[in-house]
Amino acid sequence: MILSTLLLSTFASGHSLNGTDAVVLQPSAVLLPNGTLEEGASVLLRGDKILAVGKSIPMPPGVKKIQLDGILAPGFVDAFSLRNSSSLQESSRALTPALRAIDGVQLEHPFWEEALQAGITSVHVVPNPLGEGDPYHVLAGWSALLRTGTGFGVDSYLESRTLVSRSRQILGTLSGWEQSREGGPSSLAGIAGMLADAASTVPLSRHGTLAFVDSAEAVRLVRRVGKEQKFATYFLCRGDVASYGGELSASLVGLPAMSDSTFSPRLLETWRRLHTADVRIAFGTDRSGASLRETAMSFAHATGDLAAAMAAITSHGAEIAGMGGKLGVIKPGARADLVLWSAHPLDASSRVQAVMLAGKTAWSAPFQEVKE
Amino acid sequence: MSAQSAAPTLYRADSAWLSSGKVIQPAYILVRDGKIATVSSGKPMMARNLQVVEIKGVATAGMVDAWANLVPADLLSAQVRPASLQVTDALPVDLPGVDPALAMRVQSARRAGVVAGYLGTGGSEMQQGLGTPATFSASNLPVSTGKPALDLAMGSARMGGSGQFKATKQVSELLSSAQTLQDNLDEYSEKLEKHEKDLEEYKKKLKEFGEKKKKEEKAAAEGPGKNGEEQKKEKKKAPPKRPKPPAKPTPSLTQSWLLDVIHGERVLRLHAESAWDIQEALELQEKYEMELVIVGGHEADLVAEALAEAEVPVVLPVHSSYLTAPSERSFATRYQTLTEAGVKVALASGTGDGSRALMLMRAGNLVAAGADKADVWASLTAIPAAILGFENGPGSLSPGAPADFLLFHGPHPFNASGFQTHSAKGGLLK
Repeated sequence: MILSTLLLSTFASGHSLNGTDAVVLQPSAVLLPNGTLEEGASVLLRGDKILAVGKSIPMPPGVKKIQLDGILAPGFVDAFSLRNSSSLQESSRALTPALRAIDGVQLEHPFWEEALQAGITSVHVVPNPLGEGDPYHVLAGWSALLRTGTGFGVDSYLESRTLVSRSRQILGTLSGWEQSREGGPSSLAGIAGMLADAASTVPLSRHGTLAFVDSAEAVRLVRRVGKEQKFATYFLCRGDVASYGGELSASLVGLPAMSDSTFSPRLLETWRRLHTADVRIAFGTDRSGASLRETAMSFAHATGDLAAAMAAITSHGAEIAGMGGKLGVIKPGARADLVLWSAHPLDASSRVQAVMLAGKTAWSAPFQEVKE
Repeated sequence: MSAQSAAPTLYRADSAWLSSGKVIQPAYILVRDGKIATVSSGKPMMARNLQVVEIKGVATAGMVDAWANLVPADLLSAQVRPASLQVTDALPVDLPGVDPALAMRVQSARRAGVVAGYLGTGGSEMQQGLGTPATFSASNLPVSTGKPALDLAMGSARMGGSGQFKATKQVSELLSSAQTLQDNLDEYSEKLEKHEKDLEEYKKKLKEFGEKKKKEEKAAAEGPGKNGEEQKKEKKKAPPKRPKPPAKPTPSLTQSWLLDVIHGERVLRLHAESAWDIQEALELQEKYEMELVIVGGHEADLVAEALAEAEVPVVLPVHSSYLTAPSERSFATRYQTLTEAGVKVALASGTGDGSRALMLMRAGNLVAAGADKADVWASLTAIPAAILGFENGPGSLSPGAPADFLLFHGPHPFNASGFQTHSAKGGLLK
C-alpha cells in the first residue's frame, strides 16, 4: 500500500517561527539523552533556546502548539573536522598559537547545506596538524565552531555562523614526526618545552584545550603540561588508537569517524575496549567524507550502547567544542538546534524531515511518497 | 549459548520473517547438526522433549554478499593477478589458526549479518578468473560451495590498477573463439568417430595381411618355389597403413571456462559499468544463451527494461565509490529504477570490509529514500542467494539452511544498531 505522508507542522513547512514567541513542539517522540525515545514528550522553545522538555511541561498562556509527525532529536555535532577548509596550517614556525581555523573555512561550499540535510547542525573546524609532505612537530591555534546551512551571507559569517570563533586552543603533539622538520623540537621533551612556553605566553582558551595525540607518550606529556599549567585538555586521536587506548580511560576523546576505507575489524574491537574503559567518545569527520551517522550506528552495534552512540555524535561533540550542555542535547537552556526524523536517527531507514537551527526552520524535506 | 554440540537445539524467537515473506509469531527454530531442521509457529512434535532456548527478537535470514573479497590477504594485495586465477586454489585449508587475519575478517562479516558470499578474483576490481560462492566454517574461514562463476571485467569497469580488462569487442571475440572451439571440437568428435572405424578396418586388414603372408610363406616352404621375379613382386606388397588420429583442438584456459559458460555449467559475471557495455553484454547473452550476471552496473538503470526482459540480474555494490552519482541518478534512484522495471538486484559490499560492515545501513538508506522494505531485504538475502545457486541455503530461513540467521529488534531489520547474528557454530555472536 502506498501512503502519502504529509508533514503537518510549520516546523517542516519552511515557515520560520517568531524568535520571541514561545512555541511548544509536540513530536511523536523526543530522543532522550539515554538514547531512548519518550513518546508524548513536548519541547518548549523561546527564541533560540529550549525552555523545557517533558511530558508535563509548563504551558505559557496562548503558547503556540505544533504537532510533529516524527522523532525530535538534537542536531548532530561534528566534533572535529578539517573538511572544506583550505590550508589551516602554518609552516613558518613549529609552534603556531595564532593560527585561526575560521580563516581557512570555505563558507560557500555546498558541504554546509549537505551537512544540514544530513542532520548535522554544528561543525567544529580545527587546524590541520599534518602538513603536505612536511608534517609539523607541534602546532597550535584556534578552532571554530560553525553551524551548517546556507543563507547567512559571507559578510556576516562571523556573527551568524560562528558560535565561538575561538572556541578551543589546539595543541599538536604528534610524536611520530619528530625527525622531519627543520627548526622544530626533535623529541617529546622538546615538544613539552614548547607547549609549556605556549601556555605561558599565549592566553589560553577559557573553554580548555584540545591536543592532537598519536601515542601513549604524547597523552602523558599533554597531561603533565596541562597539570603544570593548569589547563583542561581533551584529546583528538590520530594514528593507531588501539596502541595507546589504555592511557585514555575515563577521558573525553575525539575519534575519527569511520569510512569504507578506514574500517577494520580491529577498529570495532578498539571501540569496544575504549567503551569498556569508560572513555567518552566524540566522533569527528576529520579529513575524510566519513558519515557521523553510519559511524554511530556501527558504534551502537559494536558496543550495544545506543546512548553512547548518540552522545558520540551530539553532546560529546559539543563538549569537545566547548559547548557542553548548550548544543547536542534537548534540555532546558540548550540551543534549539533540532532535527525531525521519520524514525530513530540510528535506524538506517529513518530520514531527515526537517531541521531547525536556533529555533528557526532551516530546511525541510520535499514531499515524498512512502511505501509501507 | 552454543549450538556446537551435535544435540539438537530448539529456539523460540518472538517471531520470524520467512523467506516467503510470511511472518510467524512466535517462531520455533529447531537446529540440528548446524542446520535448520524446522521453522514453525508451534512447538514441533519431534522436539517436544527438548528444552526451549528463548531468544529475543525477530529471526530472519542472514545476508548474502554477492560480491565479497573475503580471500587471503596475499591474493588481495597482488598487483598483477594472473588471468588463470582460481579462487578455490587460494583458499586456506579449513583448520583453526591457518589464516587468523582472514578468520577475523570473516568473523567481522558474520557480526555485520553476512552469512555467505561470492569470492571474486579481484580486490577493488573484478578482473578475470574463477570465483566461487562460499559459506563460512566453524573456524571462520570461507568454504567453497554452490555454482562457480567466471569473472570477466569489461573496459568500463576499469577503476585503475593493472588488471585484465576486456573491451566489449574482446569479450565478444573470446566468446566467438570459444564457439569456434566448440565447432572444432564437434568436428573433432566426428573425425574421431571416423578414425575409430578406420582403425577397426585397419586392424582387420592387418590381420588379413598377416594371415595371407603366413600362408604364402608356408606355401613357399612346402610347395614348388616361385621363380625370383615372382618372389620380388610379392615382397613389394606393403602392409596396410595405420590411420592417423585426428588432431584434438587445444583450448586456452579462458576458452575452456567460456565453454563451460556456453554449456550452462558456469555463470558468467561480467563486471560492466556503462550502459553501452551492459547492452552489448545482453546481446552476447542472447546469442550464446548463457547465464549472465551484471556486476557493478553503474548505468544499469539506463537499460533497466532490457535487463528485465533478458532476466539478467544485477549486483549493485554499496561501496562509497558507487554512491557518488549525480543527484538525479543517486544510488537510491538507480536501485529503484531497476527494481521497478522488474530487474533482480542484489546488494553487495563490492570491495572492502568497511562497505560490508555498512551494508545493512546503506540498504536502510534505500528504504529511507522510498524503496520498498521487502524489495530491499530480498536484495540482501533471497536474490543474491539465488544468483549464487543456494537453494534452501544461506539467505533463507528454511529447513536445510545453515543455522546462520539474524535476530533484530524492532519493526524491521534495517535498524543496524539493533540486530545480532546467530552463528550455527557459535550461537549468538557478541
